[in-house]
Amino acid sequence: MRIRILGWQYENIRRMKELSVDLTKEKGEVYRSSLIMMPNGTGKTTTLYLIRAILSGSAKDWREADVRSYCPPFSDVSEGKFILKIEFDEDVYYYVLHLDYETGKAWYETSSAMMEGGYEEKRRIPIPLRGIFDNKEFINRFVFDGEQARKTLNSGSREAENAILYLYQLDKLDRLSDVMDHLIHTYQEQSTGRATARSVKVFQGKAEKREQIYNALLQDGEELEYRLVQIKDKKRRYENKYHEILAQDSHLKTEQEELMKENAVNQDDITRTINGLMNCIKKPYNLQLDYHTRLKTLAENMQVLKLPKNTAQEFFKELAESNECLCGHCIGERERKIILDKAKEYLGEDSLVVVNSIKRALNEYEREDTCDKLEKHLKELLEEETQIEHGLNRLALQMAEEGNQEVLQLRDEVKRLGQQIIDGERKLERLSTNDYITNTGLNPENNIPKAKTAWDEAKVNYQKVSGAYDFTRKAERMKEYIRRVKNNALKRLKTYMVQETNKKIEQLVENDIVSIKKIDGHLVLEGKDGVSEGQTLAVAYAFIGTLFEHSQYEFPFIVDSPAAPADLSVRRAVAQILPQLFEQTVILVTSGEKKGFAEEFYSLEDVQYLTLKGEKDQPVESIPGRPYFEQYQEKE
Amino acid sequence: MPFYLPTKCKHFFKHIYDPKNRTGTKLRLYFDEYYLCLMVGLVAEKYDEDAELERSEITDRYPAEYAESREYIAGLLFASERSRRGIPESDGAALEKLMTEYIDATSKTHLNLKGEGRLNQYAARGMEIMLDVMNPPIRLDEFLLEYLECFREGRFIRG
Repeated sequence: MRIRILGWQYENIRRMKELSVDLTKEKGEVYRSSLIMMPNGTGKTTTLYLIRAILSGSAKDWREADVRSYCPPFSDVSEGKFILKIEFDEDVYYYVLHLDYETGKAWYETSSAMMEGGYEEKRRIPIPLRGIFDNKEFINRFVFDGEQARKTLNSGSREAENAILYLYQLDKLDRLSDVMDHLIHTYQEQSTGRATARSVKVFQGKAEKREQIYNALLQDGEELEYRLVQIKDKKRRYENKYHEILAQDSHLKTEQEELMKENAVNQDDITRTINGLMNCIKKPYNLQLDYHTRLKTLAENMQVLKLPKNTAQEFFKELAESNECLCGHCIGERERKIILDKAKEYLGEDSLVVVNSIKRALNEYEREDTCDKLEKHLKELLEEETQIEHGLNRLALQMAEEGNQEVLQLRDEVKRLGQQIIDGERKLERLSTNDYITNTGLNPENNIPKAKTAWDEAKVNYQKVSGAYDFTRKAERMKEYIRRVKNNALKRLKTYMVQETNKKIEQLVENDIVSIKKIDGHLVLEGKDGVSEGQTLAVAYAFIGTLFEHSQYEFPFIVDSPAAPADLSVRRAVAQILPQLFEQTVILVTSGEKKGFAEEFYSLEDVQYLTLKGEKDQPVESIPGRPYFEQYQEKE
Repeated sequence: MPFYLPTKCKHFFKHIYDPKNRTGTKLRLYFDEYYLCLMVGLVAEKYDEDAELERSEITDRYPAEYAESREYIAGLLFASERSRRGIPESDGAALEKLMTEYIDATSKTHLNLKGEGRLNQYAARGMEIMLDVMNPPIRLDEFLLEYLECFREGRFIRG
């Protein structure tokens, strides 16, 4: 399906009294690229929000204050409207978002040639797009801004993975599983087996209660995990800020740098010493003098006692098979049994070799004093580490004495967050572990695996009394297949996305090596904790380009200030790549984005230029054409 | 019998174990944990008859980093068992009989199933002793210092 934005209209929305933006050419087709110059304060962000609100239907949840925030300042108008004109394949839809400033309510109307009777008082989206458009996060993917780019790389977000799920409709497999659940439920309701209706009800109630507990624990776990990511992120930011503040004082900065340098050397040395010590104690005789004494005593005894004896087990076995002993005595059954019993006390020939190798090893080794030296050195290093930590604390105190109390607050906050992380991780472990030997007191009310087992048991009991056991088992197996299909498809899509996105990033980022390692909810970068704003944009655009490339839907791309934080080289690269990614791109820019970005479009065909201008406290007006677009930039 | 970890081992060492750690500030092998427990059990000359061990084995041979210690570990097993059984140093026959009980020339550890099983029992007791004497470690460096100190002061033997 092809989706095009044909234009939009504002009526009494902030500084827009009555204004139309038309993105079509003479024959009704849209321009491939539309550059709309909107100086700061004319409603760039507002426009983006309103388009998103219409596509996602999110305005119905707005609070009264949200609705009234769109009211023109110092005006007594009672209603505002935003009308969006969209083409889905050949069908044109008009969406009206009504904003009632008196009641604080927002509602939608839709009109299209497909519908009879003019406007219908609801937001009506073509059927194939309903599951997709109802997801606000997904709309943000193609109605895009810098915040969205950051989210793609935010470690707390699952946004990148969700985008793949929705666009390639893998979430429909979840819905299929839901249908299966519904079928199971219906089957259970209808078949009561041989049990009484009352007992079926009791078992059903138990199973439902167990399910609720399990789901609640799962949710607790997810929330805890999310909180931990946030806390870790906050701790990292505070630590950076702490060091930045110390760096403001040139004297303290030098001291801090020296201490940090010493710390790095100290940590390297600690690592080396640990490795040395571990290697050393892998020889038991180095670990303790007593072991050395035991081993050497054993070796000496073996020496003195002439062990192992030269006579091997095999000698007695051969002897037992003879009829006559070496001394000439006859060997009967009784003698044979005694000889074979005795043979067990002697080592076999192969074992003699082993014992000799042990004896040799014990005789030959020499105890080293490396272990003692390394132990002593490690102690010194740990003391030095404490000294360095004290030194850094002293700098913070010095800074505080000079009037900067924030540094102490930051230090305390980092400590507090550190403790929160330890507590949170402990809680999370108790919630999700299945190690019940070391974690005592866990039960189906406070531990996810136990809750799952209890729920499964309750389900089976219910299924058995309801006579739906076999049906449910088959359905569960089917659900498992569906789950695997979904996971497998998602895994392969993610691998593909990473490969293709990395190719695009290579084109966009010239002076640095940036690549995506994997998609784990968000995009995880290879070997980097973070990248610059410009690089964040480059990664996000490259990902979007790949994401939409093979979708069966042809989406437009609307973006607010696409190049603002980027340097000139990234701006040019973004300007070259954006028109290639989508059949229709609508770009809202400020005059500051002319250099390196907007000017790259001047040489392209099929580009529309619009300038929305208006003096402060005056309604905004729209002026089409490139000359004014360029001139306006020059004026500002 | 291959090597099995004592059941409480993973939890005890969880903060200082990370198989992916490349800096050397964590233990990277389960066998490291096993070895640290084994040494404590052997020094105390105590083993658990009914050792609580994990169900799945960690390895049936010594990892490369411990290969050179094969003879010393076997030697320590003989020395500890001789001491436990009260075999006099002058009794060569009894010592050789003890060795025949545990040796297998075809085994990668030089020990037969009984010998490896006995090491598992020593490791299990070693774990219990460590739990009595030490707190679960947070940092490998601090743990190593305390571990060595416990050996030096004989705290594992008293425990």
